Amino acid sequence: MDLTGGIVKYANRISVVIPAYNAGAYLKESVDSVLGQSSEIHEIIIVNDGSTDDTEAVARSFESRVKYCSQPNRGIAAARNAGIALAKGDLLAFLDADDFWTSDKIARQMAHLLSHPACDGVFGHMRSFATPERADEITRLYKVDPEAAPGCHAGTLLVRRSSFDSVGLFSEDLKAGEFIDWYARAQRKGLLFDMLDDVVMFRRIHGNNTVIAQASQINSEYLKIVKRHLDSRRAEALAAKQLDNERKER
Amino acid sequence: MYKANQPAVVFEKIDGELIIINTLNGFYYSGTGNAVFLWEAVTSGWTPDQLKTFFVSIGHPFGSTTVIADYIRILLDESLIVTVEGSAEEKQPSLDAALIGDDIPVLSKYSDLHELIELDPIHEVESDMGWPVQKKG
Repeated sequence: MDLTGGIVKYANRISVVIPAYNAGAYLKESVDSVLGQSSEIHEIIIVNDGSTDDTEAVARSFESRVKYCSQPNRGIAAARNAGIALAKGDLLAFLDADDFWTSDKIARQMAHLLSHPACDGVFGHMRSFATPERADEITRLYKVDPEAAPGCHAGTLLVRRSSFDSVGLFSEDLKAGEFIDWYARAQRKGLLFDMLDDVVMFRRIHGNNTVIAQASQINSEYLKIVKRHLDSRRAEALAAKQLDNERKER
Repeated sequence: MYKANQPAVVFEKIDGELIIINTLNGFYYSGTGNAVFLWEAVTSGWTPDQLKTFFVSIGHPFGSTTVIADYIRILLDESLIVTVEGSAEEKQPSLDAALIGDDIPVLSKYSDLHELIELDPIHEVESDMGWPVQKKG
């Protein structure tokens, strides 16, 4: 660890992947929160997932401070995966283009990982808020609880690249719940995650959030994820039992 | 009578296995065999008395045990079903008794993903039931 001009530098390299779909209105605030971290970020990768608004212009306005790539619209899992393929860091963080981090998010999580070498990844708490330009409408339509809550969410996670790779990429066949699916696979692999008490992310509620706008499809995806998770657990338990039996027979 | 506690509770039979998710607390459940049969019967409006009569009529052991009441109690305790007002329609036994086994219905409950599932807002649940849910009306 090294202190240079108030920025904490680590031997580890941190890659931040930001998938963006029609996020022109919020992307700047999101990227600014990464650029404003109190610790060094090695690279910020913005993946434009086929946006039809000014997402590209906003992303390119950051010039060389971000890496920009685009693809036809394929969903958030595919967009994150595209960013991961480009990422060179040995630590990965994700941020949705409509959310933003606290300035010490990475510093707090790096400190935790450095002092807990067995920990594969670390989450933090998050707060939600109604997007200011539609606050009246959003608070009328939705209950937005401003209390900090444990954020088992891609946007609060800092994970070791080697640990992430041992689980694999996000499942691109899922239209939603891709992080729940990934986390379930990580659990089956035995990865260890901790949860910081600190708030590390603010989640914007703007009415077009995927989980709100496509609720019925999301329910269906969640049921599919749970079924897949149960089937995998049973298959793994069966395989372990067979292996154990074979060992006993030898 | 009872119905599934929708929209907070979502469910589907996938490859013969019943999967239920309570999106308010993130717990999920699975069941096969009679757990599926009884869930479908209860959530489609069969009353406990009607079910008991049905099982008696086909000479099934559930007609003379507390299995049905016990199962419904579990579903209520887990907030997977809710009581609805109204008079029960007469139900005609429409299922092939040979298809119904005599296994005790078992619903397995899991909590390993609850912190993730309960984090995401779901439409149209009551405004005091979790975050950030859409209010009715």
